[in-house]
Amino acid sequence: MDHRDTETVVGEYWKGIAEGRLLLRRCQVCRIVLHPRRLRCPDCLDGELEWEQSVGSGRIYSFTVLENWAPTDELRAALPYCLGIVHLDEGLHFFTRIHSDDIDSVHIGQRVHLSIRRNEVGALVPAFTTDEVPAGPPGPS
Amino acid sequence: MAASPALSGASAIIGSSMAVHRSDQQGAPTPLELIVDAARGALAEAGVDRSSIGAVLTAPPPAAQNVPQFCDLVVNELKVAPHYVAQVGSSCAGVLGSVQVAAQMVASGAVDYVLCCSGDTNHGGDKFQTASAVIGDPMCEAPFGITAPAIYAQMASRYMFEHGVTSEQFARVAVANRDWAVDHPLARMRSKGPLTVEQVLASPIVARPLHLFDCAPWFRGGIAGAVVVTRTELAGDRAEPPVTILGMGQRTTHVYLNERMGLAGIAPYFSEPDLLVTGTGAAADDAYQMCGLRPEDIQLIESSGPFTSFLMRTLEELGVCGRGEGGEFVAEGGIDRDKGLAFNTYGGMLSFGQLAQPMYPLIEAIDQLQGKASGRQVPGVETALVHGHGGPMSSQAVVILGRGDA
Repeated sequence: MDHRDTETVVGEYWKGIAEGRLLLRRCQVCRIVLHPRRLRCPDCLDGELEWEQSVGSGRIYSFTVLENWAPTDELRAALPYCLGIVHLDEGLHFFTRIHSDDIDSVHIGQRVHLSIRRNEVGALVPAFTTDEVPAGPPGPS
Repeated sequence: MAASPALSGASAIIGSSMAVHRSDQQGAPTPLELIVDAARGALAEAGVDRSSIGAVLTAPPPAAQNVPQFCDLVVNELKVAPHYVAQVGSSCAGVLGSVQVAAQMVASGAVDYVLCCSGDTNHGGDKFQTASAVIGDPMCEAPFGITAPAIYAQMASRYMFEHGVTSEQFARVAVANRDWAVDHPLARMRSKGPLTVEQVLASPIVARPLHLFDCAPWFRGGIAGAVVVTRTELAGDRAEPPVTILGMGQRTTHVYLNERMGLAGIAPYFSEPDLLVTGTGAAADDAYQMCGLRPEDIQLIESSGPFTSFLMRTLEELGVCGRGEGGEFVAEGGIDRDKGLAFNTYGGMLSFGQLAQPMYPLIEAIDQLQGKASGRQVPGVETALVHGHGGPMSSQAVVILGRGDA
């Protein structure tokens, strides 16, 4: 049985981010995928959780675009920015920053992919970026 | 499971009081000072000597005085030695939680009288809850730039996506709350006068789809509240009719939104992650079941929800209307002051102003039941429901109250 506190577990998660990998927890008993800060499986309460690299893709479950107000000077300089919950393809809902070339077109159901990048204070974070919509076949003129 | 119906009507509130410091008054009292003032008022109204207090229950420590064992500071300052002292948790829902625990303590006979008290102050800081990040997870949410409005805005955008509710409908909640606040002498936004849907929609965006006036401003100054709870048989004859505790329920589901959405589901609240489902529905079901009342029997609702969209969804979770029907309900005047359900007659957090650990929605319901809500009294209120909300949608408490002489 694992005996690590939340700070240690989250530290391993952020180490993975620094190495370019989004690590999730998977219960070795139930097989369900869990948020990285979980200490125990919430279903069976077993502690046999193992790190597993996310496939790094999913759809936007919900989102918001912050305008005008943010908690710090660095974040205020970044306004407007998009936060949201991504429903990862392995099933987990994951809160994150969402980047898009066109922030006004971000919508629920949109496909996104992992794009680890530096936040406003220089830390690498597991952000997501909206997929480019493939150009369709040329329509009638 | 719901509490036993035997608890319904077994306990009553026999004294209530608020202590208020407005920002235009001199000085800057601490939450503790205001709580002691409120406790003195509640004990005087109850006619209960301090030596009879069997338990002192507080909410979690105030944001402005966040010290361990805050409840012991209250006991010390009141010069009492009760059998039980506790801080009832579950974020700001702990305020109503303390009343629920008190009801059980007196009904069981463990003690005769319980003093519940809480309060907080804000002597500066943000005008509106626009940039506060305190309810985000510092380890896994803060690095992305989380704010409190951003958490609730994600719920609002999902609400719009699933049920087609609109920003105009959210705005109606702010307008309706303001219509009550103009007649509350303490309301933060009272001097601004009535609000229109157009004004809400023209106010700057904080976190899409929420505008500034969809968000609660902070109350400027400080407020504490206190109530004395006893067994109904000890309530006796008194000038003010006792307020009977008819039903109660409370649910806490998580600490941080990210983790909560990462759960596979908590039976029986939600089978899969659903941003529109909080513990309010289950807490309300328990409260209704305990007293045998239905949502249509409730004549007045006071909620501490801090955003328009969340309040609209709360109406649905309380059973006032069905899931997804909140938008049409408010658009058709469902909570309008002149023709709708009396909702947030204190002005709501949106127009009264918000502080942590607020007992003032509960005290407003008590005042309405006792006919003391001067200028905004709803005629003939016999049953009222109070909804307490805490954390990032994490803790929800419901108490149903009745006039003891009805």
